[in-house]
Amino acid sequence: MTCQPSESDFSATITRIAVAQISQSVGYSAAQTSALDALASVAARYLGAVARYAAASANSSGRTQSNIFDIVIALEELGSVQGFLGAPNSSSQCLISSSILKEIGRFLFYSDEVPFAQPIPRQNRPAESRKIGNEMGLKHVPGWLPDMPVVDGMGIEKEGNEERNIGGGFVGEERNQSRMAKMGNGRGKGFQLPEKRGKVRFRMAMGGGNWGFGMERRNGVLSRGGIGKRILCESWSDGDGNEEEGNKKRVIKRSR
Amino acid sequence: MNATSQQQGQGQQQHPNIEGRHDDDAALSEFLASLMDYTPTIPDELVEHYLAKSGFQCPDVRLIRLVAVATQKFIADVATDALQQCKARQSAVVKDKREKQQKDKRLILTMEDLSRALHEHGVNVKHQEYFADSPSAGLDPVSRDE
Repeated sequence: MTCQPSESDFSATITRIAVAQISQSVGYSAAQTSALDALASVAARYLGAVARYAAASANSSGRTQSNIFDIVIALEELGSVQGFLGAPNSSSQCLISSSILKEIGRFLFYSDEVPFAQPIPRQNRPAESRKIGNEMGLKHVPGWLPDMPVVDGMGIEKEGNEERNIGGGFVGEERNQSRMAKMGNGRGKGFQLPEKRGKVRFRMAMGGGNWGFGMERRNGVLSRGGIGKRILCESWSDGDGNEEEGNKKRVIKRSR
Repeated sequence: MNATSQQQGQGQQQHPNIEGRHDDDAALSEFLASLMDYTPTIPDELVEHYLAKSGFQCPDVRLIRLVAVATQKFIADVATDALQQCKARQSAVVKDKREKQQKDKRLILTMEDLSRALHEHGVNVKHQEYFADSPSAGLDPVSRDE
């Protein structure tokens, strides 16, 4: 049984490729797997740390959206371990004199461009494709809540694996559409069984006869009942005499 | 972006040199424009994913690029330090000159160099010094238990 790769595997793999490309551009020709994994993990954490500090500095200034000042503050906080040349960002000076930006500018100028190896499929963000209000048209549900989980006719909830929202929108709008197409038949009917069903017949026999599907009954409580009565049979065994796993209880309902 | 920084700058305090400020702002927007020319190795989608995961909201693509370039610079610095460690170790080992030249072609990023380079940047990485296939490997035959 193949397990589905999680979203973190996807982003971790991409990070690993990018870090491998960066180390190749620096001069390495090969890397140990463990070292590459460690460096990729560090890169991911660095990105997360920059984002966290920038978001925190924006929040402490009473804003929800970060701007370049927040980013420079975040970079300075992370760069303070090793230290950077020049003065940190101060409110009296313009940002361009910040040494962090100067170093980045120098890096841009002197380093060659190394684009990422393969194109990443960019999907539309689900926020753009989400309808205002609920799919089912439930008016009492606030619009900012996510859609209700769609349940098909079998009563099984569709797994949310396909629709997992990976931040920047890896979720496919096509997947949304394909799922909606699948649900097109069952939608609106909810839990109802399809109207026309084939008739089911059971052949009943007393005292250990064949039940018509290759099994023999050993003990059973077989009571004569009218139409619609339920009959319980226990501990089925194969024709070979092998016990089935455990005691299987079958409920057989007589039908017309 | 330019308007925002101008508003913030002028709203904060009265700067006597307003003209110089305009030049600085122009330089900043030029810098941000040059960011868009450069394609960072870390793709934008990945950066957006990690930023969104940590609560960073910004619709401006140039800031995404800035963060990507900053991360790339950080990783490049770490890798450069590790490379220098690797080269220093190779030059320290005085062996056959022929062997060294062959080794120069294949520089391998090892855990040892990486942990030393990361230590300078504030990241502590522990790694296994060596692996042994049995508990008594490498011990003297006298002290080995039969």
